[in-house]
Amino acid sequence: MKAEEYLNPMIEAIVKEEEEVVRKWVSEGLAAGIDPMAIINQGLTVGLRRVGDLFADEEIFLPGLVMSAQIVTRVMEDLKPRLKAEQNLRSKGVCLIGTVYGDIHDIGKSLVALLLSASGYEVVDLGKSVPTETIVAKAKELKPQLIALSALLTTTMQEQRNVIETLERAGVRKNLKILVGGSPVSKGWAEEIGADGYAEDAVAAVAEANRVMGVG
Amino acid sequence: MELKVKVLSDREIAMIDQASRALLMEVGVDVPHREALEIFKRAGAMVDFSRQRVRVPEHVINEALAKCASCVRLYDRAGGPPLLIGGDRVYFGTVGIATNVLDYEKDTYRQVVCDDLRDIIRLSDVLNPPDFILIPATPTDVPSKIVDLIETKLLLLNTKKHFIAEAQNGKHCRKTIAMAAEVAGNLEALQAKPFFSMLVCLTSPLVLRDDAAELIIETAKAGLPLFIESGPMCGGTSPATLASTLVMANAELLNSFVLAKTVNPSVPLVYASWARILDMKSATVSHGGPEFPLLRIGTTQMAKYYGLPSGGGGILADTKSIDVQLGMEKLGTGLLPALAETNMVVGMGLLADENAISLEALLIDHEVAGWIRRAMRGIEVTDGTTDLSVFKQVGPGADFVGTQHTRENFRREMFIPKIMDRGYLALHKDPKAKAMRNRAKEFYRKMMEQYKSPELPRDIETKLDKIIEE
Repeated sequence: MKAEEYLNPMIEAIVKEEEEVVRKWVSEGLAAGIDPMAIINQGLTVGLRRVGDLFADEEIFLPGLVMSAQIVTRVMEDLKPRLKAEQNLRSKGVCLIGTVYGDIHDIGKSLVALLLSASGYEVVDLGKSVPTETIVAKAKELKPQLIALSALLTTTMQEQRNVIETLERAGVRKNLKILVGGSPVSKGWAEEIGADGYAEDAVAAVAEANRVMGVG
Repeated sequence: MELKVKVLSDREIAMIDQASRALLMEVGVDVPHREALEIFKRAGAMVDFSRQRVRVPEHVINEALAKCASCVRLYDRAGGPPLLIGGDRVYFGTVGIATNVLDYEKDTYRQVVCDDLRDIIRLSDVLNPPDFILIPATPTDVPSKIVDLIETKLLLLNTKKHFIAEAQNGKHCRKTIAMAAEVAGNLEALQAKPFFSMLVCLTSPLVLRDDAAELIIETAKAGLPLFIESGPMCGGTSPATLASTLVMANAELLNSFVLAKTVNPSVPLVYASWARILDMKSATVSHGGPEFPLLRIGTTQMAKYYGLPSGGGGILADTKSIDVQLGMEKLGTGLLPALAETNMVVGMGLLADENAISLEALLIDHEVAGWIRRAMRGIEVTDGTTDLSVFKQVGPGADFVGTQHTRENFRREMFIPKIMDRGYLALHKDPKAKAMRNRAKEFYRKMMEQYKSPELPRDIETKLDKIIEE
């Protein structure tokens, strides 16, 4: 059987939120000698992208998007030990994500974290109302390539600027890319505060992360 | 608990009923039709043949009402379950007889042609609601002498949904029945599962026109359902109180029911009304104000008092464009009658009081009707919907988005709009790009991909044309 004969039904099962079926095609694909990296890049990631497109087209809804992303994340986690040493899921980069200090909005940020994670990023979710010093400390410790900052209030979006300035003063800004998002945030705001990217929703956030990171 | 509304107390219903009965005796109704007068006479009414006026005593009304079914079954040609018109069920339908169309592409008004009627029937066929199709427009590119029959032909060729047809007179009524019987295979098949009803519009004040009388007589003879509407205009064709408008609308309907039930005790009848107001600024009828749904709730309550299936206008608008006024009028005039459980709410697709039809308006009305349907269901409180297990699973501080509980419940609990714009404000994009009208256009294309013409024998059109030409 050709690789597509395993990958296509795998993709289909991701769209249909059928974890057992996804796993069945993954294990059969592995048994048939398909490279685990190919399963991730040409199966799981493609399936999740299709789910994202269907979500954008209003063909599937939030609970379905979350479920598909959770399935992909779990399956990907189980595949990791099978990757060869030179292959590395971290190839897309480590991403710190959090909602800025003073802002307790969680759902949109968690969705972005889930989708980034399911798209091959090593995501560390710092949670909500994260103090700026925590973000800077974690940036020094984990050396992420990407930081994603969420703010849902016009009062707390100022904190996104504060985080970026603090990262600069701490000397870690130049080694990483910064994405900002949240309902009051705009492309213009992102430019004004010196962020590298902005996305208006979770599906677009993955594409924007890939763009600023220069990865597929 | 479900949302329900009423405007009349039991005492007020009784007052209107009593006044209607007295009105039919003390003033009576003009019936300029010989056969109808004889039928009224036979029923026990006092008939003045020279003045062509009938006065129906109480016991005759009671006899007619006693013959009425509390639920009328309206079938379609797709073999689906019938619409059960009665009780607390609410169905939405198109309406029209409009001669203008708001052009979908150009956003300008022009006269309706057959292709417009075909398009609106086809869109009505794929959308749900409308649950049934009351003839939505009157084409101007065919001779007016046969336009009603052409309308019926277009309905038969383009939809399998239940439809309500119009006919100009008794002869055309017979032809309409013959055309439907042709499609059904024979008259008996049509009578067993009637997939169309006949529309009858009464004339206010207190006139049963000859053509309306003929429609009632011919349709009753065939035993097919009658959708009978009274539509007085408060301050114009009825006195300037809403209560007396109800008295008269009710009296006109009861009077017509006597005629129908005397011809055939088993004819299915729907008690429908467009009782409304005459707008004192423009000297024209208005359907978009608060009086319209108040009157609709009133006529619906009267129908329920008699145990009759109810219908009438709703989801209507006076506005001439797809604008803020449209949204306000459509929701107000749709929601209130639906909450009163008017069984057949007709108005989808219509605007510019009754003068224009629009594909966009029909798509918006589909959304309005969906919104109303969800509101009608209220909040379901059961052991299941208040169960604590999902709280325990998620715990404090987290969210419920990814839970199985959400996946299982959100579609039933939440109205998922098709064309209402929701979501973030993307300042770097055109904020109007997702405006309802634009989304309606996209939705139209998507819906029409699903349309399939009814399968019919090849020569059916020739046969229908032959009936029209005879």
